[in-house]
Amino acid sequence: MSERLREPTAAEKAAQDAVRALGQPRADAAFRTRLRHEFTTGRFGRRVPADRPRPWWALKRVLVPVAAAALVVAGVASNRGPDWRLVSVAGEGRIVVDGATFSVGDAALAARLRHGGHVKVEGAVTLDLAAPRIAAVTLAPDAEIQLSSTPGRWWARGMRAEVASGDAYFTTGRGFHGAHLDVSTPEVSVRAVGTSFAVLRDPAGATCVCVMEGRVRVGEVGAAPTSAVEVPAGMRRIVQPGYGAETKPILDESVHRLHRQRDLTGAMLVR
Amino acid sequence: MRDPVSPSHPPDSSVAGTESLPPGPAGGLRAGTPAPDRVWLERVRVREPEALGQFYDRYLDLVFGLAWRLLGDRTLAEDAASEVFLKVHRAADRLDPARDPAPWLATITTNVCRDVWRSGQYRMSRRAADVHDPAAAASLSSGRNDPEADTLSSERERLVQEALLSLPEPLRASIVLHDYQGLDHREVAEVLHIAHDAARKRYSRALAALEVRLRGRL
Repeated sequence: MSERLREPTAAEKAAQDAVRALGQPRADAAFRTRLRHEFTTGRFGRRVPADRPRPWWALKRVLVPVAAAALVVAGVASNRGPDWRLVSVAGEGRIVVDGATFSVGDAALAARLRHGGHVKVEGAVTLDLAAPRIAAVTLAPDAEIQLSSTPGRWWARGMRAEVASGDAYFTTGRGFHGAHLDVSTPEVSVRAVGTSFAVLRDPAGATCVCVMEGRVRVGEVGAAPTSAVEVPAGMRRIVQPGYGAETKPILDESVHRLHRQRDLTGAMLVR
Repeated sequence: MRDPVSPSHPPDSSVAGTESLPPGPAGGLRAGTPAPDRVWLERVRVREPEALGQFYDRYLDLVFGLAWRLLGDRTLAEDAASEVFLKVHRAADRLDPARDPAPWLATITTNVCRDVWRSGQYRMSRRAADVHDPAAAASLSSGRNDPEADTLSSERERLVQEALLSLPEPLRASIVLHDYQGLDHREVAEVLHIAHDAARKRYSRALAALEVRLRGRL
């Protein structure tokens, strides 16, 4: 039941009367005509809506995808690992990168090698590349490899190299921690996690994986992963299709070349 | 949340009549107007252009006047009126021909004004409300041919409108709907989506606050 409210005072009644006596405001003739036309035709083309605060969900609907896209772009950009840098190129011959030929002294070579690619060393040329803190790769004369870009900082932490022929030497740096390096020849696949090793492939198709530091797993292409053999430091694994595989002590030549690579790139790799 | 354009007033409510209205609201929408014809409202419901035109002619002043009193600004009142008629056009098929559409229109207008109150545009315009606008004063229909009386009346209008605009929006709506618009407390409660008792108490508080603001000024 409604509670009884007090009667208005005389002053309140006067205020009440003042409000009741207010006149009837009338809209402008032009406005009346325009709105009448809009209302009767249903075409509210010139309507000026009241300035309402934008509903939070409308704002969110726009902001969330934009913020998510910006986050993805920023994440992808910041995840990219460092570019390959040309440390040294010495000898006589030429270098072919993705079909483009460069002489030993060509300044454009460094830029072309930044993201890796298909690299072929023709003649007596030794090519040293390094990605700061991540890894160093050395191509001996007549080597041919397909080199990927460096591992991402947080995800896509893999790096690949396919040695088609010749000798390639690999040393990883401090920033490589948590990543992995897969090196393959047509016959052999090698997985390394923080190490210094060489992959040598001769023209007859034999592949030798020489491990100077750390451990790598060497398996034959097409074989079961469980058949891969772990090769410790100081040893080499020779795989010769049709003739089997054997593990032997590492050759001085490989140790010498890997030491040379480490001397050359050690400061960049922060080992 | 209630649909701001759905007719919500009870069909048997005495609000459709004028017996329960406060005496003589000069600006009230339904004051002295006969109940609308059901057949005519049916034609409005199907958006027949001629019926829509008559509907507009009959209720524009009601909508615009209420918006003006609630907002205190001509431009905002025009925007609000446009918004109200747009909503009415869209919801015309939900119009109940058995009921007087005036309370429905008052509800829509109040809801639109409530949206305007929350907007930045309103807060800006409040700093320069056009209650001093000569055009605004001239547009108030006194119905007299007496310049001196009109001047006094205009000044009185200005004071009352200023006092109304200085009230918090919920109190202002309560006073305007009851005393200017001519709705009874039950109708005001429905328009403001509050209980009947709450509407009466709010009105009582609003009237006391208005009296304080007008004290010694009229």
